[in-house]
Amino acid sequence: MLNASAYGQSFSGKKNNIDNEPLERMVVTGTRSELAQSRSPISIDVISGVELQQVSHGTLASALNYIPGVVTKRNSKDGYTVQMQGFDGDHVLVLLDSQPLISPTGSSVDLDQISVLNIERIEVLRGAASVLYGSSAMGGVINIITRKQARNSGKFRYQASSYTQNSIDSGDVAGLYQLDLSQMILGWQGSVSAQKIDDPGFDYDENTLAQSAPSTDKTFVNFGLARTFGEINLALKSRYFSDEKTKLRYAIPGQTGDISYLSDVEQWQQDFSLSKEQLWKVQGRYLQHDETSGDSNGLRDAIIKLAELDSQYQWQLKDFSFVSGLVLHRDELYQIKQPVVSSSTGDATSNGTIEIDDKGRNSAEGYTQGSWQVGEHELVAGVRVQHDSDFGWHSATRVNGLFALNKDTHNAWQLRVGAGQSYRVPTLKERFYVFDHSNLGYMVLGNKFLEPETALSANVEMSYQGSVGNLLALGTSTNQQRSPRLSLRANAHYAKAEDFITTVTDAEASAQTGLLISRYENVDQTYIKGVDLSAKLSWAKVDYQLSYSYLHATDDDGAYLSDRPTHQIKSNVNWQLPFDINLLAYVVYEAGEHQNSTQTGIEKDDWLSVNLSVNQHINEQWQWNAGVDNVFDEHQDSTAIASGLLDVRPLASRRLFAGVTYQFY
Amino acid sequence: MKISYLASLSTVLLLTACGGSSSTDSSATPSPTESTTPVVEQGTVVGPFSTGTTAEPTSVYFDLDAGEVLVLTDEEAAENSAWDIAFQRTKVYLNTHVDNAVGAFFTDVNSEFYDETGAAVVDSFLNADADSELDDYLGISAADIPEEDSFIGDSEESVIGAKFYDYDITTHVVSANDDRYFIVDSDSMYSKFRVIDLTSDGRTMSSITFGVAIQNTLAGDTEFGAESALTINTANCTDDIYIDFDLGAALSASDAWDITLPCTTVDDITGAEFDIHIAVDAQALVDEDNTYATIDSEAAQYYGFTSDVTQELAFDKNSWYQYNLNGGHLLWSQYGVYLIKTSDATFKMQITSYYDEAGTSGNYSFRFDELISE
Repeated sequence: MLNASAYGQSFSGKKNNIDNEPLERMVVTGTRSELAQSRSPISIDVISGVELQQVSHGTLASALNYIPGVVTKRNSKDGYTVQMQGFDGDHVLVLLDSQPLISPTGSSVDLDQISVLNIERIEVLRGAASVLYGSSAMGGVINIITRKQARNSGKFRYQASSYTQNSIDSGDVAGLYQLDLSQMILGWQGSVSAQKIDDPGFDYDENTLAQSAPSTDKTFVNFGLARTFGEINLALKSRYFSDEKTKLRYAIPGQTGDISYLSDVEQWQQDFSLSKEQLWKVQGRYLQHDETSGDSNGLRDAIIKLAELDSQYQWQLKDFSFVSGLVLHRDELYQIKQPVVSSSTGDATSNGTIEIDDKGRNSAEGYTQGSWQVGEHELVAGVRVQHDSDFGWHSATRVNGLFALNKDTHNAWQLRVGAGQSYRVPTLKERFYVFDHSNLGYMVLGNKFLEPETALSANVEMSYQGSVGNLLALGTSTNQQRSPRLSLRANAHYAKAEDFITTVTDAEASAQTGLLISRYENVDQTYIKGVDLSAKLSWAKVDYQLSYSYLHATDDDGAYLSDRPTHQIKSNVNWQLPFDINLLAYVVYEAGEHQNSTQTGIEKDDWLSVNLSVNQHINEQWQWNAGVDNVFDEHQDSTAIASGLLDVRPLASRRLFAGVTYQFY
Repeated sequence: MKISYLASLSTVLLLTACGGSSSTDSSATPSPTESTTPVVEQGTVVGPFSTGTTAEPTSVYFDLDAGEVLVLTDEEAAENSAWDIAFQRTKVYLNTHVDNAVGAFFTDVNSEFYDETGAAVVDSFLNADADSELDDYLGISAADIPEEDSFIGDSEESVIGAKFYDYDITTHVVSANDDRYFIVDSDSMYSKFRVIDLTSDGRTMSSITFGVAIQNTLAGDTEFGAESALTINTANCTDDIYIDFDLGAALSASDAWDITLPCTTVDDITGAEFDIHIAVDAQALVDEDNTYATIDSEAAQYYGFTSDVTQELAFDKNSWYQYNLNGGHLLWSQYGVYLIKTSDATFKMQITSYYDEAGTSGNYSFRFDELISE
């Protein structure tokens, strides 16, 4: 990632006078209290909202691919999820302002349903964090922190992009429109932001009926009101999101028509937050997600609801500081396969098939994490206890330590260690799903007796913050201060996960029904170990970062887990040029993915993506940007995928883009 | 005999009147019967006819002679001889009524849709449509009608039934077939048995002796135990006989029994029928060569256990479709041509689609014509 000075130069148009001296970022995710990034006992990476705008096309979908160690995956609904430290999207917790979001596919949030428009920063915590955040925080936590507007501003941005040779129709242009307003009125800080994405999709082969990526039409609207009453901060937020997708898939056998994948999503979110700085906070969220999706000949309606009340209190006891919290949470899910409609009369000829019958779960969760500051060192220990309406009690504990190996802040060596438990509660789908394909000989059924998945994990991280001169002990202190700033990090992690939920054949039910009955069960064990290495160098007007991640993930039988890269290399260069021009190039390389049981061979098990962008502030009002994603148009081969081969290249396309931004005030 | 071309036309007229598609449930109004000049070409496709959903399946009963859907409940259909062929989701049924025992013969005109290993040639399925397969259909004529015994009807088969004895047609002596083993999965227990002796009394059985071996999975058994003999006296029975192998005794109907033999009286002699059944919630298989020393309960579904009575559908012997050829969970017709022999005539038939125009599954379209010798 870029360091603070780099983007400060790039987007303010002013050079930071303190050469190579990064601004210290504040983070909250590691301890649920705000503290300097370097003081966090749990390692946190930060990507700023400005950086996100530079590497995204309106949503977080592709933006997180920029973050070292994060693997982004496109799912069957053409959404995007992330993997961290070998855990898939169901085991990585995505938070918005420290509270969970709805997960339309299992436990994994679709990153393509989150706008980058009003994001201040994203904090990335690698590894387990169930003590502070509960379910799903097994491989990591991505905490999206929205902007707290502090000044009046108004901005409009338009960006056009083209999928070049993969465009469905020549001349297809994807449009991104953003409007961002903030105004102080009668002591209230009000904000409105809106974003529209109109994307025609792309297609690799015009001679086939099936379309590679869907056409989408997304709308995001955010409202915010905030006010301070003495020491009390009040914030009210509403978020609206809609998404329509269409993708041609198949010809109807024996008929002249076609079947398309359709998705129509609407989401409403209401948040409130009441807090007293660094003392207590109460925040609540209600989120409803209405979705109609599926192939056009078998659509499903789903209504997903989430309600959460989260309170926390920070307190001190001699040399110990504590954060304690209570979380009340409810999930609801209703899913029905739409009734059959007569093609001649338009009338329903049957009732719909209820697949999840308005099920819900409640949980009450309490946690306490204590921190013991001993000089420059810090020890942290925490416990979380959860009572769930379905499976009863569950708990997790974890300890972390931060050890400063020297006292020179210009030449800081730090050791971070952590070990403990994490878990994921079964989803309502895993508990109550009834997928009836009995006329084709099989059914998939939920299992209400599922228990939480659990993991024991540990990690060790050594980091260095300083300069090349200090590290190599070169020259005078003056020379050392002018020496390129250097940040190094090496992290090793290990996790043993148990009771992972997967579908297995229910022998007894299959024998009784004559069908192949699959049922969700707590059966799988997983062993994950890996190493993350990262180096950042800031020298004059250039910032350079190189990272490498290695992963070894196997099941109980020693077989490699599929769908995960063994090796990942990411690199980016950010170069500040004259005339306030900023260049960014970043590269992603992944290799060594293993076949799953249904794949019959390997078409390609590595891929490389090269991405370039440039932007310039012309004056206080105008700026422009342009670039090309996936320069070499690295993408999967649909024919190979259809024939059962492993092809790890993403469903992606080269994309040329150019945009302009106007700042009203 | 009605003219099938006329029947087809009647159905087409009905479909046209309904806006290009038939009613999509089995309560469709039968086609009008007004007199029309029979100028319908061979191979006209009729349908789609909806067979409901997986959760709410409905049956479409079709009379090939009349060329129309008959509005029948399943109970009425069981007693009805007018319909010839019926559809319910992926299943195709033939009438088994004594007055119209319909048989089917598969002409296999599209054998090239499968390779030499029997695997589907995906492109053949995906590229075929009603137009491209019309010539294969038209190529079938009365000259292709095989001998009558080549036609196969739907049937029911008991998993045990009468398989436990041999009948000598010359001596009319019934004897136990003690080489044939059966395994019953009932009440969390596997019981392997064979009939090692039986005593006939007229056309009934007065006693039967089983060789029984038990694998009690609840008790931790991992294989069948040693065989022991169990003799049941069935002479002068007053009710059906219910036998529990674990207890080694005849019980009442309300107990947890494994097999049952009907009690009957023939020519004033009362005894058991030569017929063995299992309970509704039990499964069984024929262990022809005493192959299984153990049953792995985790893999029980792969042994081939079936319920007491199974339907053997003629169309299942040569499936008309392939499933999920391109990842879309769709059914693709093989466009095979079936010959359907009813009590009055022989028809050729080709299923052209399982979908309506919107892609809704369970909607059959097909073409059919009577085969008339020149």
